Amino acid sequence: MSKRFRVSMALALALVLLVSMAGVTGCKPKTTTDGDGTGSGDVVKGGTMSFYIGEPAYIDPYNTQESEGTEVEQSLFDSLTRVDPLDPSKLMGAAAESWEPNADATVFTFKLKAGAKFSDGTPVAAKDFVYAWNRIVNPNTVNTLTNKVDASVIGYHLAFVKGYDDVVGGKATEMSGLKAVDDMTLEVTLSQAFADFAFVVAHPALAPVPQALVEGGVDYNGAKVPFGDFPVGNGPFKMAEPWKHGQYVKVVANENYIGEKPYIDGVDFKIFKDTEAAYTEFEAGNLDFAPIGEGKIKIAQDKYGVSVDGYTVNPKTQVVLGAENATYYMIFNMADKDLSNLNLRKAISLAINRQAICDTVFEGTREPADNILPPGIAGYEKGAWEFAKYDVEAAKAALAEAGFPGGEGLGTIKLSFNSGAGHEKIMEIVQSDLKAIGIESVFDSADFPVYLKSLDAGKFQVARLGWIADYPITDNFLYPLFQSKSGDNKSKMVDPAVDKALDEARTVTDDAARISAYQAINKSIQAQVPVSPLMFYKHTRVGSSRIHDFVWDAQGLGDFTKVWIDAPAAE
Amino acid sequence: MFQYITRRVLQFIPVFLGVTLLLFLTANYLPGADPIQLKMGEKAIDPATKARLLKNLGLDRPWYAQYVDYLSALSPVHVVYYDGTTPEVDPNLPKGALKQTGTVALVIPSIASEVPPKGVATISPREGMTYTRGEAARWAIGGLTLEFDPPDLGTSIYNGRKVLDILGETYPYTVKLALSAIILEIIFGVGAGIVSAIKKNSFWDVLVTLSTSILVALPVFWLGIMLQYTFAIWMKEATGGAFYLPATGASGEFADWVYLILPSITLASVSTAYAARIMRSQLLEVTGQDYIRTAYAKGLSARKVLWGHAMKNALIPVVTFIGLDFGAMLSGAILTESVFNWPGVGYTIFRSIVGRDFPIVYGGVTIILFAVMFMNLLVDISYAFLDPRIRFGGGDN
Repeated sequence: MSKRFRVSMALALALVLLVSMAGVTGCKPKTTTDGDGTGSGDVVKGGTMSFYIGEPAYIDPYNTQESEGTEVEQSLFDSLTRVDPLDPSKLMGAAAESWEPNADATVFTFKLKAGAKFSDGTPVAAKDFVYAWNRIVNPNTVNTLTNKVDASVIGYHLAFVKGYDDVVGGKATEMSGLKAVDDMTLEVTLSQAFADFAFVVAHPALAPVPQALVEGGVDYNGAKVPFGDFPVGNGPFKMAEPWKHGQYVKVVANENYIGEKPYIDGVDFKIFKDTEAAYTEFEAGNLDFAPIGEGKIKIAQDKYGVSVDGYTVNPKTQVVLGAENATYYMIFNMADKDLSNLNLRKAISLAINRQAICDTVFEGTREPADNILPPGIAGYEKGAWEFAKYDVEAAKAALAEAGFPGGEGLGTIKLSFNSGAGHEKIMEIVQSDLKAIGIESVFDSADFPVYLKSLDAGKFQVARLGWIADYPITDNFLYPLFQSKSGDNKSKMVDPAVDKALDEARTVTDDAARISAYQAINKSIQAQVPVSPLMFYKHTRVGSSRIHDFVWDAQGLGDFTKVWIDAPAAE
Repeated sequence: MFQYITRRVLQFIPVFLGVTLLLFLTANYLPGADPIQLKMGEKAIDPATKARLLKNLGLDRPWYAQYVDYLSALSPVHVVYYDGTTPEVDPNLPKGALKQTGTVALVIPSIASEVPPKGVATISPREGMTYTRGEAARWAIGGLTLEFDPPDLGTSIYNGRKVLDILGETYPYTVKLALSAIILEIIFGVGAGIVSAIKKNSFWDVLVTLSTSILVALPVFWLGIMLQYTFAIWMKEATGGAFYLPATGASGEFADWVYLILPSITLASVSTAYAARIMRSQLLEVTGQDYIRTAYAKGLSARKVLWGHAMKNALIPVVTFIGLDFGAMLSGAILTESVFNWPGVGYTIFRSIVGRDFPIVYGGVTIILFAVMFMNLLVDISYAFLDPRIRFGGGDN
């Protein structure tokens, strides 16, 4: 090797090292948190909040079935009622001023707020609800973006309304149970009693829409824009420009809104492909609310402070970790020859160390579940599911009682889950927990489409699922998950007594009596161990230090009317 | 040359049919839940609603019928059934659905009527399937109705939007990013390779060799994230000006060229390194050959030998590599797009594969197929200019 070459080599190495170090070291980011974290201080008006979302499927209420579209849509529309963001058991009026069920909870009469308008200035009337709801259910509803039939997948919200089956079946185009008594009165007749119906109508998708604009398009800059890209609603905000697919949705305050007017000028919903990219953008100071990147939760907690109630963001208490109305659980196939054994199900449920899963896999950001109902639901009782706890001795005893002392005589149990979504780590703990009491298990993982199909076909023994409530009510857990005919009852639990009790509970109009009826049903369901609740999902998002009093509720809906933003510092 | 190009273009047809046929076959034999169930995730969907949605999308039909639907919607001439001259609006049906009785019309699609001016009519060529076209683009010739209609790639299962709209708004970004990355690759890759070869064993040569080794080994997403942290977070206040921009480009307006800088560096990184290495080794190999020595012996200047004789031969493999690489970039860049939130086509197609949103997958592959085939043609044509021995006259070379 020549001398010249060696010198060159050394110089080049030094340069390369220097360049790569510039990328690895670098100065620490400055945190600019200020304020006292209590949300006190004078409210400042104005400013635009930037908010992370993934690309929505629809922001037109007729088909908002996923979280991202719903987030945008709920800023544009008010449904009849609204769940209190900080107390999901409480309902407030939104478009409706008051509502009244009849004695057996089959007819609900909603009185609308006087003077309410859509953002284009046309008044909101009961007929706008009738039109909107029929549009959701009608199988021939046209997507305004393509002018092609694109039926909604969320018609099930209105399955209780009388005449639903006729519209779905094509025998009618309007549900007979919907009646605009006058401009301000909407009367809804149900085909079966459902005392919690006022919670159902809080769903953001069940908002009124202006028929003329849905069918004729919306005027924007001298051109007609389809309603699906520019929904016009009765909510606190209105579209600033048509949805820029894959990039952003911009909304600004609606001057025609009759409810509590927002302090901020608007919200920029910035569309991201990847949550990690969003968190980078947050750290760069360009996003006010974002999901926390994987493995960065502890660091974020130290750096930005944790929200006091888990939902409200203020400077220095910016990380929201509140429980969601969602449960992660294992389902047992009750039609399986092994899992039909109640004591085996008990043994498995008692053997799982939920705390270990929450601590090691989720950095403590999930909570061990002791009930299928999350704590935010009115019927929740601590420890109500007596087998949803970690008790190795009891698990062993149950296994012996099941006829398999120490696992003897029991074959290998299949643990099914969808691959590539982080469930492997959870299942590894479950597997070793089962082994500890003598149950051998194998993984049976597949990609999501294949996994869903095998669940539907009942080809599993023990599998994982998550349930996210549509409405924060007990019924929305117990009825879909355990009613014998429900499509979401994947355990295939069949108990006529539970079915009957579930139907009866829906007729109870007194809130306290209904909740205790549901609690009794929950008790008799848990005794059969059709599923084993593992964890309650929790938020893992962070707000910027310039936003105050921002609430991101247990349903994952932001309250953009109370948030205010620091005035930009003078340059 | 013209003959060669014609032959190559005709060769596209079997390639196109082969690829798309394979795609339809694979898509239809993929195990697992249907796209409508995937749209609902873990929540059950009412079977009647699901069946209806599958039918609306034509997904209840066998794969070969779907394939014919796809081809006929895309092809210049296709046949639909409808009631002759003017579709009649039935006031009892919901907006958009029209009465049809079923006569045959010859429909010629063209991109001329992308946006129907007014009186958009929807007819139902088959029960459950609707067909949109513009009033203005219709000519009645004798008893036959000819219609000009844009090629259609169907609608997305996930969000009900037109696949052409989705690709129309993402593909320009893919092209923009690919173009800027390929320019970087040509300037820095080829340039560094030349410098490195000419100044063999110098400081610059070692620098190029070392840095290309490192670049090749760096995962693209890591490099992207490091660039973001360096310029958008750590150096945000220091750099101000040009780099004072959202780390991922997610600001709203993408018109500004500065948004291209970091993603195109990231996308170009690995290929630039490869291009430099290929350029270097080719040039070294060529300069060692007899004809170069002869050229020097004839008294030609080093510059003339390099640019007039060595370069042309050395460039052929480099052009092949860059051409193929550009084709690959035109297929979208999933990682770069995710890290920088670039609104390109790669991530859209990736997400559609995962979610089994077949119309987008089919449409995306169609567009990419055309782009890649076109790039390959350009590369082949460029050979003729680089190497006089390569001729396209239909001879046996």
